[in-house]
Amino acid sequence: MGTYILKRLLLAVPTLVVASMVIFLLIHIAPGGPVRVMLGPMQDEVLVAKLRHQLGLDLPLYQQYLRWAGKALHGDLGISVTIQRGASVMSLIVQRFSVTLEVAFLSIVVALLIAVSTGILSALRQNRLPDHIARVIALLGVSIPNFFLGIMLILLFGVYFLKPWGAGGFVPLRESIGGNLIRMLLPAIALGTAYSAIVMRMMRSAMLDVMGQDYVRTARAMGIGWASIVRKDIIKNALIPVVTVMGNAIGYLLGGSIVTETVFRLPGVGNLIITGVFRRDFPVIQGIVLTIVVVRIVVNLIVDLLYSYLDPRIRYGRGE
Amino acid sequence: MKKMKCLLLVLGLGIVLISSLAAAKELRVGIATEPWDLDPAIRTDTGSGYLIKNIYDPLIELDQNNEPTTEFALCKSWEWKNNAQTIVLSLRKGVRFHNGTDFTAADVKYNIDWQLDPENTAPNKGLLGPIKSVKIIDDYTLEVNFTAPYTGALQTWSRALDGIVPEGAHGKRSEEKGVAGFAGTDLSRSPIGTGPFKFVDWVSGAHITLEKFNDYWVKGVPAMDKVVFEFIKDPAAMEAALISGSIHIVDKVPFRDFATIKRMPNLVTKRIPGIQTQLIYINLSAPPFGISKDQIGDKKAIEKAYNLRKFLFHAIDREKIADKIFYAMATIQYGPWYADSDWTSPKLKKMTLHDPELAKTYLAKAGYSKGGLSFRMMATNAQWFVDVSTVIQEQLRPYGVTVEVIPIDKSAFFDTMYETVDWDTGMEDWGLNNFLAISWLYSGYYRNNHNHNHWHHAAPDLKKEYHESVPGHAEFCAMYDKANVEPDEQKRKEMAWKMEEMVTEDVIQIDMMFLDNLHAWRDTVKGYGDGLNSQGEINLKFITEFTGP
Repeated sequence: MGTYILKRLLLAVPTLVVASMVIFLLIHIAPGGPVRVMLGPMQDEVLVAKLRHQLGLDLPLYQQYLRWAGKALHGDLGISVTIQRGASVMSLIVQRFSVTLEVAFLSIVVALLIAVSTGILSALRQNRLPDHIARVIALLGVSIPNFFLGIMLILLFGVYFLKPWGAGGFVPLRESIGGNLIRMLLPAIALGTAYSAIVMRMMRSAMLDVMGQDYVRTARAMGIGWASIVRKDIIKNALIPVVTVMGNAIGYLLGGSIVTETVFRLPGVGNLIITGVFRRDFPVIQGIVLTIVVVRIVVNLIVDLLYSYLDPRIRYGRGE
Repeated sequence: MKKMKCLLLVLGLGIVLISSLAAAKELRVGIATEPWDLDPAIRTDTGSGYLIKNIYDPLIELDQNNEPTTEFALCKSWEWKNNAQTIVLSLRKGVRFHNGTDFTAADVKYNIDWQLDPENTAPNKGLLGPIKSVKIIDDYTLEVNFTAPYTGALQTWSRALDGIVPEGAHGKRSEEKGVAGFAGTDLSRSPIGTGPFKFVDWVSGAHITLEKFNDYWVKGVPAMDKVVFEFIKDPAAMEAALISGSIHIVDKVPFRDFATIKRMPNLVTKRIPGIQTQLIYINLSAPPFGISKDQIGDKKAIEKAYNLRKFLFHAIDREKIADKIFYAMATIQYGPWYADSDWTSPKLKKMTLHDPELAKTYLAKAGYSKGGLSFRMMATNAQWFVDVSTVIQEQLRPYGVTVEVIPIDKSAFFDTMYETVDWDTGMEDWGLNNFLAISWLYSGYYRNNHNHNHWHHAAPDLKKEYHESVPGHAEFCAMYDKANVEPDEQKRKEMAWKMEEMVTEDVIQIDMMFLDNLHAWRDTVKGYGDGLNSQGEINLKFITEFTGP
């Protein structure tokens, strides 16, 4: 197992190098830079040149890349030039990432709570009323875009019922746990619902698949209680494809949800990227995208390791 | 036992939530953009201005009629001397900075000197005027001498010195600091002023928190203990937050929603003519509306470009744009300045703007009587610029003119406009930062090497990247230089009229309309409307009472 993890981590290095080069190129190919936006009405050519020099934008592209990559290797992702002038990119990412992490965690909790329970119920009551209801809900969950659901939730809870606390906004955890949680609830529901629909369908079909397996029939023939079979054999085995979907979902959610964060006014990673792009804050965009790539690599690794826990037949590190 | 534990957990969570909701009683202000820099001497964006207004006090304030006033200003009174070449300022006593130091004349001198220092590249240095010297008479009296009469000082200082900082507060200079440095100054993220609110913290992407400054020099101000400025990009989210009471003041209301918001219970609205002008930049250094380097002195090419600009000027129906995009909440311009101002040329006020027949005549004179003209219009893709451009596209179609609308973001727009001549027109806006017509003429048209329209004249310092474009710029600059130091107001006004006529009749750019500022706030915030003026600022000093959501 240790060898496998090491191998995967080593493979991550070229991935990171290529990803960082692509990010760097894409950002610099796009028209427009941060300098003139920073200077506002004061478009003096001497200042433009001075600032470009300070930011290293007057260097050839490969030198700019090497300079940035060299610093990034030492954990220095540079300084924000237009989002929060002078602030270190790393501190901005840490600040924003904690918000995204919290939303992602709560969304996954919401998604799993809805999906696993309805998926199990749906499979156990196949083609009966609970199954039909669950499938309709799942269809709606997949079909409704989460920004629309977000706005509807704000209208319902923010404007009519829970006002004013349901209308979004952000309270840091250190300021108020309750204030933070109540404002995170609706974004988590908006994001989690979409995933719950996908996971619920996955859970249902995996359950039905497992329920038709020989070992389940054998277990029943041996007189083992149905509840015990469902709990110990069916659900555990049905969870494998769910873990894959959730793994992808976590990776995606940790990259920040631009639309949901904007609608609910959350200062997460998605929000940071979009502001960075509009303000051409090159160091921030480069830093954040690199971080997302790292997170995706780590999440994928964890998901792969989880497989072996859920299915003992899967073993890594022995010529798999 | 397990059930009991669950119940206790739920109860505990409920108590935490309820207690946090009960404690949440602070004024929350929604602003569309996150500030960039809280140092008043180097900020260039609107979002920072909202904060600066409440953390700092200005030397001179502008009232609701945009006239200089000492209300909430650090200057108590002023006296002009020496034919408007000297101004003596009396400053307030008993004013303290947030760091505990007393405010004196030395602080004002420091603020002026710091901006005048070319090394600091302060963006509003030009607004300080032709300052020769700044003399401290005593702790609370300051004398400022100009090299020439400068009667507009109070107006332009209301912007250039809109936040007085303590002596030495900008910090040590370094290569990375200042407006032309990516690190800002010591005040960029830790502002210190004399204003009613002290800076507490800045949560990137979310909000900035301010708290009451107990030593504020105006008794009873501010009316609340804490203010949170929330950054809310999405207008729909902003409105929902206002309606729900999650925020209490918004910086602006979208035009399409103003009527709806106005009808809502518990909300107060106010519409004020604004200072944001909507204009079309025209590239005068390339055909079709200008001339290329090869065409310098070519009278036919100059004439053709002129006719096409005149066509554009008369073909655009500004009223329809105002109705369609801004729901008639805009004031049409008859030149660069406000139509109802004495400083707008009486001749221009009588001009017919939209005249299809005249437009056709000019188009025919330019050789396009059967249509066939095609040009590009860049429009920044934030706000309404693309919408306005597409309306113009529709308006010009009947003339056989094709407009290619190019949505582009602001940074790319600026880079293209300032660094290339490979563009035809650009749709943008510009916020006036003072109420002097002369000053606006300077910002919009004066600089030879650098103005929005690439309007240049032959001069020894003209950079090789640029070339002499359509005629008139040298004459314009000469007239501006005279007008700027003319002490007689009537004469100065007449010179301003002449300059306005030059740029409007030659269609150097098309100044279309000033948009109204649309404000909204909850009725639990009393007095807020009294502090609003056409600059669209958020001035919390005027709030007399805040009774909660």
